Amino acid sequence: MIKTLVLARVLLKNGTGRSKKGRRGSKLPLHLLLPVVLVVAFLPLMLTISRFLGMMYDSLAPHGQQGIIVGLAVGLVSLMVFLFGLIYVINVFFFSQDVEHLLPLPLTPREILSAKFLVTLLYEYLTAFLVLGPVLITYGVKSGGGPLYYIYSLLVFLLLPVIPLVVASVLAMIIMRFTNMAKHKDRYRTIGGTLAVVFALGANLFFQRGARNGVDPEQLQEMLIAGDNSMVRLVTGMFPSSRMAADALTRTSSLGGLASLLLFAGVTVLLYLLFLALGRKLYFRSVMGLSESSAKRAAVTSEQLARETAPRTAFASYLLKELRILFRTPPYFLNCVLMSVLWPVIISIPLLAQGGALPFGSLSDMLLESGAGGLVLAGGVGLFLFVSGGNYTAPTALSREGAGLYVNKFLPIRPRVLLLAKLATGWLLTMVTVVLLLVVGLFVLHVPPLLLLLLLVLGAAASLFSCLTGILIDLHLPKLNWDTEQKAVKQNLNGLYNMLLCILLAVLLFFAVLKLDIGMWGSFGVLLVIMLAADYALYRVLVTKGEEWFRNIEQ
Amino acid sequence: MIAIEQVSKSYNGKTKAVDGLSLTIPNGEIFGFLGPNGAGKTTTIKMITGITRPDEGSITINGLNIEEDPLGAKKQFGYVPDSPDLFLRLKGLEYLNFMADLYEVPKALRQERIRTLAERFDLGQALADPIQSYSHGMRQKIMIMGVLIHDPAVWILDEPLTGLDPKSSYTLKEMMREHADSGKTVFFSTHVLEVAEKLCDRVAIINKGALLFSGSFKEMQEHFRSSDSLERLFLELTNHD
Repeated sequence: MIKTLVLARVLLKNGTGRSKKGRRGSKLPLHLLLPVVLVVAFLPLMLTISRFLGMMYDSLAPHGQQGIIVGLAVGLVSLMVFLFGLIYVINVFFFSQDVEHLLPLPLTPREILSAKFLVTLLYEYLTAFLVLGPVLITYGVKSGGGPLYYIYSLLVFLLLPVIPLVVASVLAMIIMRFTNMAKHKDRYRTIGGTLAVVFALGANLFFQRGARNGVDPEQLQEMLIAGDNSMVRLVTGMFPSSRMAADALTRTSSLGGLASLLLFAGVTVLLYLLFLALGRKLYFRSVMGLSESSAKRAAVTSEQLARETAPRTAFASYLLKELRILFRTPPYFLNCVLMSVLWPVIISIPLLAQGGALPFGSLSDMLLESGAGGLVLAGGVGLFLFVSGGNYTAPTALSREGAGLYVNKFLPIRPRVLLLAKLATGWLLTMVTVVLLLVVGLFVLHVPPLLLLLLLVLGAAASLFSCLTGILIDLHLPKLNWDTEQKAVKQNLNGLYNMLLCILLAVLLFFAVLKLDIGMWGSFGVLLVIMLAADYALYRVLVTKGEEWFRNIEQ
Repeated sequence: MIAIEQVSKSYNGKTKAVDGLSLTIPNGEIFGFLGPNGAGKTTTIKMITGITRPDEGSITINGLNIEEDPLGAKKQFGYVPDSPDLFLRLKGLEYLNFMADLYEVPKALRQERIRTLAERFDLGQALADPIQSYSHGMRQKIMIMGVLIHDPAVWILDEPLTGLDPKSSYTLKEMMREHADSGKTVFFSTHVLEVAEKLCDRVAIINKGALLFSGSFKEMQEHFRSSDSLERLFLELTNHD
């Protein structure tokens, strides 16, 4: 037991990936701080959910059906824990790099499994809290629950994620034991990460839409009750045990509620023991030999050789290398590539959530007629600066090289060519964002084509600016001392610095245009001249001073 | 030929990693670079290859100064670093082509060299796979292939034999010999003194950033009037200060 807890603590600390060196200054360890930050960040979403639930409660209470909310939430959370669990478990149990170091240590499978399970469970509490927190509190307040209700709530909250996580773990162990998914680690992590992000966005859209449209009680009733309770049955049906949890919560005052709670706790413990027993049989066998990765080991044909040895210039070859590594390294893909596509999606969610009836089409026409086109352009430039400033590709361009940066110094490539290839990589990805945003502008907001064209020109200049500042920041503060790629991007403050710098410029430009008040074309001219001048100045700095700074980076 | 003249390098302005080192590595020889851990071997190699800049002194490779004409000098040599865990997300062939692009090797020539090198190192079956899937020895081999793809006159190898299987190790040693015999330069660092004794025409031993000895093994034995092995002489030399 003690060994398990010690191990869990070590695993948890390792997970945040902070080295001792970086700990100076901050007394609060990151692994404690992170959940707090996350909860704060998700507070708006939780409030939205809470509001949505309040409306639901009010429309269901007259029919005495308000318990459905708890049933639904408990079922949903179980499902969520299970889905996220699959991703977490595979990462924590199988793909984390500590596995190979743990195997030779004198630890029983039971201890390793329990410690890893505990770590995963802690992550799951965080996820579960986002949904279950608002539900339990809203329900408690609305139904006037006493202290007993809150004690029950806490117990249910603590026990609920265990069973779905056990199911996910067993499933993951079976998958890893009998398939060769382990050998396609990178692909799995990329797909898993992408799905998680898409799922989160989908949930966001669902709740925003629900909360905004207001709930029609009749319609909701129809959906939940008239359909033979099908929805509730569907979600709770997947994890029958969650019905006991819901029952315990809705009948806290009766003895039946207590019985349900005890039964639920008993089933949970029993299933956990079963998991440990199964794990002993499955886990070690599926973990061993995991470090091998996929390889076909087939001879290269002459055609293949001819095709893949096409000569390129140093610039093109370097650019291609950068893109390949960005797309193939899961943390880089998720943080740099995927984000460039996601920004437009994130921004259009609130718009789509409002449904089709948007006043924006006429709004932008109005703006044009009333001579506020300049402000639309300035606003657009601000948005472009914000989203491309938030892209991590350029501000981590050198950091991503890590301990291998020195390779760039002995290869026969001029530093300026290398820096420009890295700049181009960042620009390419931020331009994807700009173009997608313009597509959203065209189809969702019905922005006039002329305005879009002007925005495209300004967007190109703005995103180039963000990449230039990003790469210059990274040249000064490259974060090269990392052991997992995750840290090169996720825990790199250069992205944040760059975003702040870009936001600052966006605000300045907006107020300049507002003050000048010189119409659309005048504003376009001013914005373009300022951006191009800034781009040119920064470019000159990059190819002159930048070379020198690059040479001075010593490891 | 590599000429190192009065080169010094200190870190943090205090610790002198290399102190007034002068060394000439002639053509047509295999030159072994020996020294205990922290002696300044890696720093010296980093300065030769342009990874770090010396505080004082100059380094030329085939007459080209690495500071004044970095690109020209870099095209003279091929450098195998001591850690082969590089470019892991690229496939073997993609990495080789990347190197060929940077060294401007014409298409026909690069295909030819990839074929012969893959055959010699028995890596033909793995070229289409990501380097991540390679074993340590295979990674070492693909790195060596990458730096030999432009057929450099000067080879600089940092602990090149670590992790190689007996056959590849033999092949590499054979290739080093051929290269030196054709009048070109092989400069390599190693901790394995038996290998150095057998393979090198000449060795240099450094400790605490300064040169202790440079010459052939025979000269060393004559100098110390001893018939001891290189290992014994090395231990004696590096312990005595």
